[in-house]
Amino acid sequence: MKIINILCVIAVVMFVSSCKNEDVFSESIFDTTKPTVDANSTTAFFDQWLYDNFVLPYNLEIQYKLNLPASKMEYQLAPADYKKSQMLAYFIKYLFYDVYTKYAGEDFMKSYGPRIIHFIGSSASSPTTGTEELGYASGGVKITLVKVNEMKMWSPTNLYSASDIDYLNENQFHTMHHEFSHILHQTKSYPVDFGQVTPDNYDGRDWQKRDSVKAHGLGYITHYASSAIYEDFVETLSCTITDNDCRWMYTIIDACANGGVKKGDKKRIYEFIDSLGIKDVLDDPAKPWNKFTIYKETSVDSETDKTTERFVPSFHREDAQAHNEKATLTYDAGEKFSSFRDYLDNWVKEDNSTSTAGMNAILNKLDIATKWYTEKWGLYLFKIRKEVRLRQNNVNEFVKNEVTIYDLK
Amino acid sequence: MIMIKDIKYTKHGLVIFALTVTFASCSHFQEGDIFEENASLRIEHFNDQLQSCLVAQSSDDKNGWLIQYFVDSNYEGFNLFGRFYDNGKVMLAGNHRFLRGGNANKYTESSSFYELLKEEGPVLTFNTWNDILTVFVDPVNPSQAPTTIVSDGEGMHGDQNLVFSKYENNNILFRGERHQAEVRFVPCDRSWEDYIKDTESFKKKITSSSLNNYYVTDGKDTMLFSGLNQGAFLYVDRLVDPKQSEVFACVFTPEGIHMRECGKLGEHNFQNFVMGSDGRSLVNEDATVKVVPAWDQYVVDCSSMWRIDPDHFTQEQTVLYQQMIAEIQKVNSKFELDSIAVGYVSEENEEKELIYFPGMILCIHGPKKMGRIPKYYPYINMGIYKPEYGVIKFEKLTNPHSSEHMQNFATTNLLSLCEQFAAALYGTYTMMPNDFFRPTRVSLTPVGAGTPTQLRLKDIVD
Repeated sequence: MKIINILCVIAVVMFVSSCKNEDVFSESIFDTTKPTVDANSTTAFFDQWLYDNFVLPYNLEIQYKLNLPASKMEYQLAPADYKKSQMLAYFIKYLFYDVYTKYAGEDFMKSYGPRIIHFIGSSASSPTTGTEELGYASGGVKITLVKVNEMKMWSPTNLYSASDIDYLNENQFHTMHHEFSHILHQTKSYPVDFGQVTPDNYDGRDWQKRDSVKAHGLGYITHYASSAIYEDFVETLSCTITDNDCRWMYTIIDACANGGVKKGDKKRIYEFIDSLGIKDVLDDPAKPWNKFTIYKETSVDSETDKTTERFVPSFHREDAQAHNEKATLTYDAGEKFSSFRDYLDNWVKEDNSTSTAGMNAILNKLDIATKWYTEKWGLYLFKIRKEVRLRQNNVNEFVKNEVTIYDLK
Repeated sequence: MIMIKDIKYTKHGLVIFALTVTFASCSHFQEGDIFEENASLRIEHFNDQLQSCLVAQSSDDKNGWLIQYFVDSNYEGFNLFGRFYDNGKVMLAGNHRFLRGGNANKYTESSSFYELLKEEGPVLTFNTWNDILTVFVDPVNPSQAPTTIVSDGEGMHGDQNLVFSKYENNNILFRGERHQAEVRFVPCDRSWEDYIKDTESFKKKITSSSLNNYYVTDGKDTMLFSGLNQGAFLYVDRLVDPKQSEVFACVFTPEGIHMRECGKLGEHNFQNFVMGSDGRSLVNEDATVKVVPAWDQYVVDCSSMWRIDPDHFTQEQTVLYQQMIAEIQKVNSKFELDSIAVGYVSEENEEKELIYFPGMILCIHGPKKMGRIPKYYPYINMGIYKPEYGVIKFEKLTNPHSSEHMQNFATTNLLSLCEQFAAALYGTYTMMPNDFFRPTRVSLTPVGAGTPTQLRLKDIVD
């Protein structure tokens, strides 16, 4: 049996030069002057819905039928389930297109949205590298979404739970926002300042070897964000929109554990938590971020015998061990926390060094990214997040009232 | 990207030439004047004809298509069934072991979408998920499927995009676009349920888990099929340390087997076998190659103990048998002699390893004790050989071994009676089974000295 060490990758192939002209997306690449739906087809009802809801208004073709020759040949791919494709198409409209249209106007997605979204039923895993791509984009035109068949099929007796929403976010919508953010910054460049926040630690080759504590401690929002500046930028945007409360709080705890919190940053962190919409549940003792342990980890490298120490939160200890198999790791008894505030207010020390890392770097990047989002696009990142979360919380009602899943004719 | 595609994809360059083929047997394939058309138009017209053909065989008054689907030779071939409709709907059915959702090995139907693509040649694609076929394509670890679905990035290397390859004898042959899956569409000649039932019946008739080696012979050379009932089997010159070895996959049909690719023996080719007129072997397309079950080796190997049929005892054997019963009951009046058999018994040596000894064995059982029936197998060591095809030889061993079980009867005359019984058995016999594929009785005719005997398979306690 082959053991796949799954590392999640969101890849993008950028053709920056082709994206300078803002009008480039307004021309349809499909012939919308005549009906393109074959009324006799077994999939006619769904095809008509796609035509009415995506092709006409957004000039977008959802390719739910596997287009193998146009897929990545390094992966073995299986087609998407017809009914799950319909679910996902509805979600893309409700949780993505309708959100941007509401806040950016009718023409925004028509102009900047991708032209093709391609559904793949299976994962896109490489048996040789052990990596798994969660989706990829090509030239700002096409976004490929994978693992459609692993989506839960909604029914009145099988409602979507918070974990089902998390699955959608992690496997489809994080990718959507990630790839869409690439399209946006390829159209209007992000500030050079963004790349100057943590310029020295981008690693396009070995980013996946960094564990969460390391990546967050260096000031990157995800492992993949540490691969390149432009990935860092779009990860900052997409994580802000789609990461759930717990994921964000874990990121913050990680990013404060080993320095990187400058004078005044603690106030900024609380303000950021408010912006994320976590304020009301921040002090809920049942939340996992109010019940964790900080361990001191001692690592002895098996090749160099070099010893290093750092603090590792309990929720990322396994991740740390999985990423550091070549080192001998030991942990002290740890310090238990029963409130995030106690941790941040009392345990986290202000970092007086001149370097920028950890939460300070993440906050600085967020400031740049949100400012760019507003100045260049007239959009407020946290409003988008709030709208997406509201809709996600309402997803069962939405499916019940708005979604029609067609059988084959 | 283009380069990768070129390497991994089947070359379609020559397919276009195949489109001028006459499809005389399928009325929907008309030989039109398409030679003058450009390549794209020819493929389009060909696809129209292909779809018409697929749909025509799917009408209510016909039985649709049998789809013989082979991934590669690591797996057996799979019999799938399909009906294609004008509107792009396809209904597939099957009962294979990779069906998910608790449906493994159960007859299951699934509908999805199909399309005929114009690539560099005509391509039939099943491009939405279908429970019957797409499991062969899904990159899921097949050793754990279908009970546990774990992505491994590879799966079984099946294909959902099938490139038209050939039209031959009403059959349509496709080859997988990426992994070269071999797929043959055959007009189904009976209902799908009947096809499955008849195929399983035939498979059961010619294979079993215990007799699963077959001689492959053209009268001059002989090779072996080993493990045929798995559907993916070895083609070897000998079972132990073979010098030639090839792996083949096949599907079973109601009349025989169809192999994924053509095999060769000497100057003869084979791909399809059906039961020969004598019922003793399978024969290939031109009757030059036969597949004969290695039933004689099966008898000699004694993987099951062969009872010596008391109905065919000589008078002397009957007397000896009665005397044996009397001797056994001297030890315990409730002991019963079930039968006398030839086969192998195992005993532990000093290193606690199991050693197998051939012999003539008495099958004795006692009365049920604490819910179990005690069994005893006193035996005398006896050589069992196969000098040539269809011949068995029983030989007295010069250094006979006697089991611990025989020691239980040391106070009786049982050993001597056994030796007398075996003495009448020693010799060479030609064998004739009641069934060449699944023998349960074998008649032994002595060559020279010996006693005509019949062996049969039977549990010690029915």
